[in-house]
Amino acid sequence: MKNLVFRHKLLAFQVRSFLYFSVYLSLFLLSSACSKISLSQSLSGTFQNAGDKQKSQVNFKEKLRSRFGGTLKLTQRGQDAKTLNPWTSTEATSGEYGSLMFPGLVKFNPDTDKAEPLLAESFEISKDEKTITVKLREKLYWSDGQPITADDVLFTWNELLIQGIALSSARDIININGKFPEVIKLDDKTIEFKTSEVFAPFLRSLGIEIAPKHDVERFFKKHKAKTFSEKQKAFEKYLSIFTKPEEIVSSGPFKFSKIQRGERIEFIRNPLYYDVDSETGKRLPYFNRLIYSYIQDDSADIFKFLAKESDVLGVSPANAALAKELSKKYNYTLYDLGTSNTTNFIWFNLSKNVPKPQYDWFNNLVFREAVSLAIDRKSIINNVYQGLGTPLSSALGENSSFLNLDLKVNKRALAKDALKLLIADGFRFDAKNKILYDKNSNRVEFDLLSNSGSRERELMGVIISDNLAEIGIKVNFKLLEFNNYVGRIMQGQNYSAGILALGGGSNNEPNTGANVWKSDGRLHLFDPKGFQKQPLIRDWEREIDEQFIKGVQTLDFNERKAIYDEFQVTVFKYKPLIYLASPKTFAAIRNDLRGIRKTKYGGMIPDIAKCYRGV
Amino acid sequence: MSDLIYISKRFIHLIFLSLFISFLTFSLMKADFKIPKIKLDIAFIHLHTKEIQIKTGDPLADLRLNPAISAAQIEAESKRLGLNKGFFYQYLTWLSNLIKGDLGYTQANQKVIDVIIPALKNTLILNLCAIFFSWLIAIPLGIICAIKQNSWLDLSVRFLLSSLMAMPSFILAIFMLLFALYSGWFPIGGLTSVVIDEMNFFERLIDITRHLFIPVSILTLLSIPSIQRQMRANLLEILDRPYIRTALAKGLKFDIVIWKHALSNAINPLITLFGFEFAGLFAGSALIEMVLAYPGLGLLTLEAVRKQDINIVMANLLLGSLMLVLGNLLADLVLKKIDPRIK
Repeated sequence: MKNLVFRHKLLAFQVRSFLYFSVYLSLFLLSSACSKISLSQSLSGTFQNAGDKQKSQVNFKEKLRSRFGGTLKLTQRGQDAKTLNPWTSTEATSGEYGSLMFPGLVKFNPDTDKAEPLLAESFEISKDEKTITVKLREKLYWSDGQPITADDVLFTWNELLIQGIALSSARDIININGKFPEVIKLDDKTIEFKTSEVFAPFLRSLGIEIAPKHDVERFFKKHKAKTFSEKQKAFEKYLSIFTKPEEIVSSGPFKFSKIQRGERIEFIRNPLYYDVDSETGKRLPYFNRLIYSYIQDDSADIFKFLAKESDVLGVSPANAALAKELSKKYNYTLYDLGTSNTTNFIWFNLSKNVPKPQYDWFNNLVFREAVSLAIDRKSIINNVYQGLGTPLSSALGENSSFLNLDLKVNKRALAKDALKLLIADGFRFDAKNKILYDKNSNRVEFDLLSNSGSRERELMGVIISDNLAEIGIKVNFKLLEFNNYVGRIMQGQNYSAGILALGGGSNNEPNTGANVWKSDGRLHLFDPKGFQKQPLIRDWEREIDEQFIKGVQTLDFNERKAIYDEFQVTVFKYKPLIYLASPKTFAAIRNDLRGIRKTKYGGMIPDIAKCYRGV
Repeated sequence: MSDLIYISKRFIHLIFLSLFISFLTFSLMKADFKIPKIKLDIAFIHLHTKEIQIKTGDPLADLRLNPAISAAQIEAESKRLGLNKGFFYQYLTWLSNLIKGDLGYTQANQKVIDVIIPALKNTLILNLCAIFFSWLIAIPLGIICAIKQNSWLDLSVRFLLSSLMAMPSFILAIFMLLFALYSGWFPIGGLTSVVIDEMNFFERLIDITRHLFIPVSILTLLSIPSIQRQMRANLLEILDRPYIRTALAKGLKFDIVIWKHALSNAINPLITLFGFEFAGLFAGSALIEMVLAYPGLGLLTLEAVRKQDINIVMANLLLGSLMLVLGNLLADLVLKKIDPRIK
């Protein structure tokens, strides 16, 4: 009976995604290859390894053909770019366009995550790990022919970031315990960065985009911005999407050329990009043009890819089997990109705002442990991700190099063990009616919130409600509109528990979680302290605070790994966030594209300047 | 002269209507209040409710949930959008800016007018084409089906249009996309090709037509059934009237009876319908725009409502109410021209 109810709920959710279903159904009907396959079985081990495929295809004919020319067509979720200014943008997509045009001093190798020089020719870290000396490449030019010098770096760091003309999130990252680094020009091509103390994530800050001083100053002059606040205001409009393409200066492989409002944004190759083709010595990039089309809807994305109007398609586990099947007919290859860095979790509101019996349950470690034991992660993976996912044990993303591999969370639900724990702690279980009571005979029941519109989390909520019903906990799963949901959980009021995902992004730096994990962090979801007069800081919260402080005080990877291993153990032990599962991600790529491959940390495109179209 | 007074009256009406609508929407989008607990025990009535919090979302939710965004940035953003001020202050600021002709800025710090105009143009093109074609096809089809009632033609058209009416718009959109994919004749989504800048005028026209074909045909197919059925039913009703029989009996030509006597009487409800369709010009195609990645206004509004981008929503709403009033006005004026009984 229970099972029936569960299926019924699942079905109800699937009706909602009827739209997508109808696409798949119709594609299935029409595609010539209509053989039935079982999803996860046929998928395992059948994906191409990108490297092998490419080697075999680079044949003699292709060597003769020039790699230069052509257009790379990509799609972008959402609407128009808000701005091209990477120093003030607050969203990922606009930031991406910015970094396309303004590379930083260093970049991080997509396979090893080691820092490598980019605009810099070399960089050197002093023995005390507090000073980094960067030497710029010779013959480095902005797209308008002006040389890129130490002055540009100084301008970006000292005026834009440190003085704060650009109200940027980067300001927070380079601010080390209230002190900004000193940036000193040694000569025209050499710059010294001095931090007051050792701060491991600082090296990553050298990836911050370098701004063209001459162009920004011209812009200030044009807008008659002289005082600081005038400049600050004017800078917000610098590189807006209304800027004329002729006025844009770039140092990256591509340069903004056109925006077709609501449809796409186009970039054109920068003829003065520093990198060269190793054989001919001609300047990169190979592609003449780069286009991002905006897409709002999954089916439109799929159709656009199949109609050859885009070259790369991100594929979710739900579509992986279909995408694999159509790959021969439409001449593309499906790649397995490994587990996504997005971490899904359920958490309880531990703050003092929660009324009495619930506050006691949630702050009881046994209760949180029992909930974690009762959750069937395997069932989440099977139902939400079609079997293509990984159960999560750690607070760090599944492909972080800091991941603590010793932590093992239960895959299957262990309802009996969970009940044993709860009963030993004084809870009472009415086995006949499957109802759990606490010491004071209150029935254990809470509201679980999530946002509507995320099919993943909707399904997870249903599965969790069902799992917890097995140990007698009644969960009322409710969906709120996204903005409403976030508004509520940020203040830590009027809610009991929630499901959420935080993206780790491609950034392999555990300190980016500081906002979530430090007890005074802005995103300290489970007990935001900012709204409380006398916040209670638990011992394990203090422990995590210390681990985060220690974790940035050395540049040695192994030392840092040991500290963050400990952090992960603490989170695993005290379970403020109960981690669920992450999906695998896939991408479909046209067979004639070269230079696109799977990397461990850098996604699909290790270097966009080196992509080209083969035969 | 009386027409002019009538029109100006309608516009004064519009001002009050817009004020009322804008206030209502503003309060709905910014709602934040609590309905207290109710505990009512009178005789046999026992009403107990929990405290209910009515609160719309946080416009800065995306920023707040991004671990990389600092508290200072969020503070600055909320200051820029005026979110730290009271409700009435916000509304009156918006209203006074509107009177000055300033629609304000979006969440992304762009002028609302700059964001809306291009989308508005695209939606207008799409919907005007759709209205033009659907009326061009539906009206004659309705007339023919009414004249040849219960013929094989009438029956098959009825069957076809009923099935169209039953089909959800997005399913039709997906079928059309499949058609485009397998035929290869039409591009998928968008309004222009990448090479649009290198084309001459005629090539551009052809390019835009090709892009418009799929969205326009979907919208046309979807609105044909209701217009055709209305036309057919009205005409049938009129054809039964004694004066039509009289006219025919007098020996008037069948065509003249239909065109002069029947049609002019049957068309009235359709003109009212047209007035309403005019109001939907800017907002009627949001779903299709989404599925087809068409750069229109419906999509923009939908996204703005979701993200609580209030200035875009308000501007759109004003446009909507303007169009509603304009559409009705137009319909009234046309009716007055056609039907001398209306004053």
